[in-house]
Amino acid sequence: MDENNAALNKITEDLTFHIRITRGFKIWMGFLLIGLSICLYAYTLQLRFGLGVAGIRDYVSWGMYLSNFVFFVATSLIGMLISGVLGLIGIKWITPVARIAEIIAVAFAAIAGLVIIMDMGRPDRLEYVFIYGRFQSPILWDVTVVTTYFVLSALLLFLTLISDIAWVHKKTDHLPGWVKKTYQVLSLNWTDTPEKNHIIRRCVRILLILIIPCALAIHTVTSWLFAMSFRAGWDSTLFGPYFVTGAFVSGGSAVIIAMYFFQKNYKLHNYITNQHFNNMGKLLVMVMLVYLYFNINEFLVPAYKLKTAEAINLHDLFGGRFALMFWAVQIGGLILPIILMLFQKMRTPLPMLIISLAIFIGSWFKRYIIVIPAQEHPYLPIQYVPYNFKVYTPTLTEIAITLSSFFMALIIITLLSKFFPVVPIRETAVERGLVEEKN
Amino acid sequence: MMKKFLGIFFFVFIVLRISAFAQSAAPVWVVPKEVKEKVCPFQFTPETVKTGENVFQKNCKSCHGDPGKQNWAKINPPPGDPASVVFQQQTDGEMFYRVTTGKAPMPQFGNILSEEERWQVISYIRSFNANYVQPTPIVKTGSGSKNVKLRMYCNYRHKKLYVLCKEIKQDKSEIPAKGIDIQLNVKRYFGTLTVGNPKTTNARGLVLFDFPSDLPGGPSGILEIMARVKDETGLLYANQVKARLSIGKPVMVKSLTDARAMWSVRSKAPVWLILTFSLSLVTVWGFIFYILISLKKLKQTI
Ligand code: HEC
Repeated sequence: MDENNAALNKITEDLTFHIRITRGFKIWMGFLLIGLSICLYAYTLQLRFGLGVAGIRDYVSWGMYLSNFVFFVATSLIGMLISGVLGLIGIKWITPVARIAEIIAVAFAAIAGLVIIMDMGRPDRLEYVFIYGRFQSPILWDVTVVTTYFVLSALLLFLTLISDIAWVHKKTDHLPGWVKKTYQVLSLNWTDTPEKNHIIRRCVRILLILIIPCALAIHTVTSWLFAMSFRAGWDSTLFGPYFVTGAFVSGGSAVIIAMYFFQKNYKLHNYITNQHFNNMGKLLVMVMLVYLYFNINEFLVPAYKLKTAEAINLHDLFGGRFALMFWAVQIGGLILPIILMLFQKMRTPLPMLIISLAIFIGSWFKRYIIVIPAQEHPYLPIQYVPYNFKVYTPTLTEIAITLSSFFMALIIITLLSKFFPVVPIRETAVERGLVEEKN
Repeated sequence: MMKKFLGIFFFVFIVLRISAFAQSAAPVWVVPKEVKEKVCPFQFTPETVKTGENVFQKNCKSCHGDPGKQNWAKINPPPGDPASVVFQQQTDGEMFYRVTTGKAPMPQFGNILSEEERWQVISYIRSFNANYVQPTPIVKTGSGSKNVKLRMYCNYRHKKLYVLCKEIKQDKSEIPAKGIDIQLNVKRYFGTLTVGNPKTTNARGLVLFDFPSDLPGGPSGILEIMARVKDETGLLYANQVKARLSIGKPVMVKSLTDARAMWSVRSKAPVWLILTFSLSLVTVWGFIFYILISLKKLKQTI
């Protein structure tokens, strides 16, 4: 029994070790906040002078902001894949990874909503979307489902945290009083009783089930924003599943990058092990193979027929203005990583970090490739307009505003992972047989 | 052989040149002398100018542009600016005749505008000429000119219309006007529709029209019918008779935007879509509220 207690103590100690304000944390947060302020200054310029400060014009009206929005929605979907799908099937190894995926889901879903507001010329009229939104418009479906998915993800993260918060509350005497007080409020007076655990388990179960259709909906609807409008390059019935699998690719790589930093900085080597990197690598290869398959469908089928309008767009992608970006993304961000990750040696932490960074960046540019070229080739000819109407080039202000979304997401991830255990304490203890799950 | 070919070539060439010449110099628009002196039977007033402007906006602006702005349509021959000196050099009678009879591409407004409207638009055009003095309004009769008055009667049961045409003599006495062409028109959204061909009055000054039974006439079948004198000579003075008769076919036009559709406004969204959207929303948020309540319970249970 004593041995048991000691082991339990060790786990709790290890997993709450990082919950302290360190110099490194201050420097990192300082960097993020300064970066964010610079980018927010760029946003004040846009508020003052209007959307004209961005490169978007009449024809390419969805520029970097929209492709960034798709990227954020996509990345947030990983929470559903890991906690929802794998969790419900009963895969055990995901325990230390699930919360990381949920934190990423919450951060990216929250910022996805803000990214859309960045694309609005009159953000003060945001409520009009709800007041005057038409049931027929994918835009209304999208704002509804993004909001809902964010709430579901946040609830899921919170519910799985409750018991841990109660434990952290006991272990963190070194923190200021108001922080402890906050922990106490957030723990909802949790104690290890069958009734309480039962309520939590039931709610988590409901959420895990709900989150699957909702996550599918959020990214399918996002793809419909494109597929339901008349554009060569978007006019595809494959767009829903194509976007969803693409989402698992970018989200999976994000989780691996986060795993690497948490393992190193929070000293979690005994919890996030090489085996987890190995497993995540295999999972990523699987979703990437599906994504590759969809890519082949998405490009080969129209490229075989070369209908006039599609042909213009495809030529631009395969050998024209966007060729470099297109092939870099497809080869460097998809095919090469798949081949590399087939080797066991590559599925170890450092190689996985590098590969995942390539996939993550590739995923961002993939959204750019989907959103922008199609708009430069409308069905009706573009006539009598200045050059910058025909060819979209993002401005510096626009890039800064886009970067702000990454700063904000990183701030949310940093704060959540700093003040809460990244690896679930109680679940780990239960898995290791140190705590008995009373029913 | 070669010579013959060349000969044909030259012949064709010359014919083409001549026809090109003919095209570039359109024959002058001649107005019969007796019509030239015709004057408006009523005094131009600010009111006639105002209604005339209305008529001009609807019927003339598309070609003649805004008077004084030289922005007439780029067609051949050029329509010309009504405020220009050349245009204003016409007499009222010439203008009236030209508007009445038209000349391709300008339409024949005798079929479209009543005599009164034609004079009103002239009064509007004249309002751009500061030097213009209106000739004393008179109804000059004799030497082909007549002053006629129309009356219209309707037989609803048989859908027949009678138009009675009387000539008013100098001494105000009325005699039946024989041999006058009468045209029926129906008002539509834009302009007028001519109904059938003109008919000529008989010795009693009477014409009889069988009114078509299938003219759509709005929800209650009411049509605004006008009878006018059709006068190519421009020598007649005549009134137009107008009446709103429920003689048309009642039609309820179903608007395209009445039906529910994907592309319509929110209140016209397809029912299945509203249901799917609302039901999904209520279901998911129902669970979310259930979880929030559970959290409250969690806090309270000991
Ligand atoms: C479809 C185009 C068109 C419309 C509509 C039109 N006109 Fe004309 N109009 C012309 C053209 C073309 C001429 C020149 C004909 C010519 O010189 O052979 C012309 C000539 C005239 C002339 C004679 C001008 C002159 O200097 O000889 C008058 C008067 C006139 N229009 C009045 C009107 C009035 C009043 C209306 C509206 C009730 C009207 N037009 C509507 C095309 C149009």
